[in-house]
Amino acid sequence: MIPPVEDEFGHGGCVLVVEDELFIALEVKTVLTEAGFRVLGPASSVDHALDLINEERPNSAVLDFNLGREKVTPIALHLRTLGVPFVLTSATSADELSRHRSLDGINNLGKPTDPIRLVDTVRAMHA
Amino acid sequence: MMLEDLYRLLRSGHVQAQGVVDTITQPIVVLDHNLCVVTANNAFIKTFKADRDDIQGRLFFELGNGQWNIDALRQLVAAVIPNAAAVIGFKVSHDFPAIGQRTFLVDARRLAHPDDNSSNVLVLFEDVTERQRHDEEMDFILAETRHRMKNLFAVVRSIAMQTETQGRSALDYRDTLLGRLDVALRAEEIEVSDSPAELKPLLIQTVGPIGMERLECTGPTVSLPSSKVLPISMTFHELATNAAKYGALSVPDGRIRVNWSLQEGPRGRTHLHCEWREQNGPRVEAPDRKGYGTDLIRGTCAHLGGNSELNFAPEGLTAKITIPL
Repeated sequence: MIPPVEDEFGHGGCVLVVEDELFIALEVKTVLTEAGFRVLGPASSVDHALDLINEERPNSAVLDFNLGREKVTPIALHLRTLGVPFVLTSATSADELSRHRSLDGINNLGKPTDPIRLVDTVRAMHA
Repeated sequence: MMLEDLYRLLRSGHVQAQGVVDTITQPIVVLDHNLCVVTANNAFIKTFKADRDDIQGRLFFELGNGQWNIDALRQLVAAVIPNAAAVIGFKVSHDFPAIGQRTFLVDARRLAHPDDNSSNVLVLFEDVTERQRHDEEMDFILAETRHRMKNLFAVVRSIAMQTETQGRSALDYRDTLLGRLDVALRAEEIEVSDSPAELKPLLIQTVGPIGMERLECTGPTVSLPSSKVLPISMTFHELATNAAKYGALSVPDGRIRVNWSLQEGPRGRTHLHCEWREQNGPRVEAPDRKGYGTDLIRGTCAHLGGNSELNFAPEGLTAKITIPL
């Protein structure tokens, strides 16, 4: 596994984005790229995301909860094992999210996601 | 009045009253001041699968292995007698021995009596198990709908954000945005319809009437998982839009050939390989600005873990797309 490297802008670091909705995924990527981060993905499925993590370990991750018929929990579990901090961007109710131990104590920025809050949160995770 | 007439009169009154009580479909039971069963209607006997002889005169809370021996209910019914109070709609969810898990709304009132000195209690049961299940289903559907609406709004917002504004007119922006929204809406409809989408009809529908006579498709039948409907139709939509503006569909003789095949990829995943080739169009030059849809096509394929290759050859655009299914 390649250790995370600083991007060409020098300050961002690498963020994994997992979001199954195409346009939302592209928007999150645009927002984070413009804020100086390098984006891994966006990935649309659990398999795809795990492939990306195996190629390069990100500094942090932004995850949607529902990925079509899959849930993001296997990725959350894997990121926890690796010690990679992550945040959720999901329209799923807090009630439903609280049923998954792999998401215990994880912040949910909700959906639609406020881009400024998203960038601030990712910055804080990289600090 | 003769004794016999009096008897007949009383009897017909009694039969009528009993008839009313037995016609009522909700279970009813009358208890005396000791909370022993005085009488129960047919619905009670039927609903709780009780034997009329077994329950008469027995303590209500001992009936059916103490199935009604629920503390809260006990206290409430006991309070009805001295206080002339009424318990209305007290909810009891219980696993009843004979009939399983049920939810009842229980009403308990002092039985009406002309002298107003009755100490009997009328207890009425309403089975709301089905209604409750229905309510829960409705709540679930409502929550799901709310979730979908939030998601859809987020998608619309993102499409607007992802549609380039630089170097184009408001009209051009609006048309591009509306075109993409149409594709997203149609994909959403296919996704919720649960019927599998096939590649060929999806391609023909996405290219639209302009390509009707000029699109030539070759490939096996491919059923697309619902999650791939939006990205694949969006890719074809972008290619077709560009073809209509600058490519083969912008001149009368232009044609488009689309070929596809399924191939085994890494780790046994099936990959769709698709080639879009424009012919007899105007001479092609590589686009020098964004907003041509090429970024979107690249982003879309990458999002699915696939890739795309756009070759702007002078004789016509060729796009090669690989997507894991």
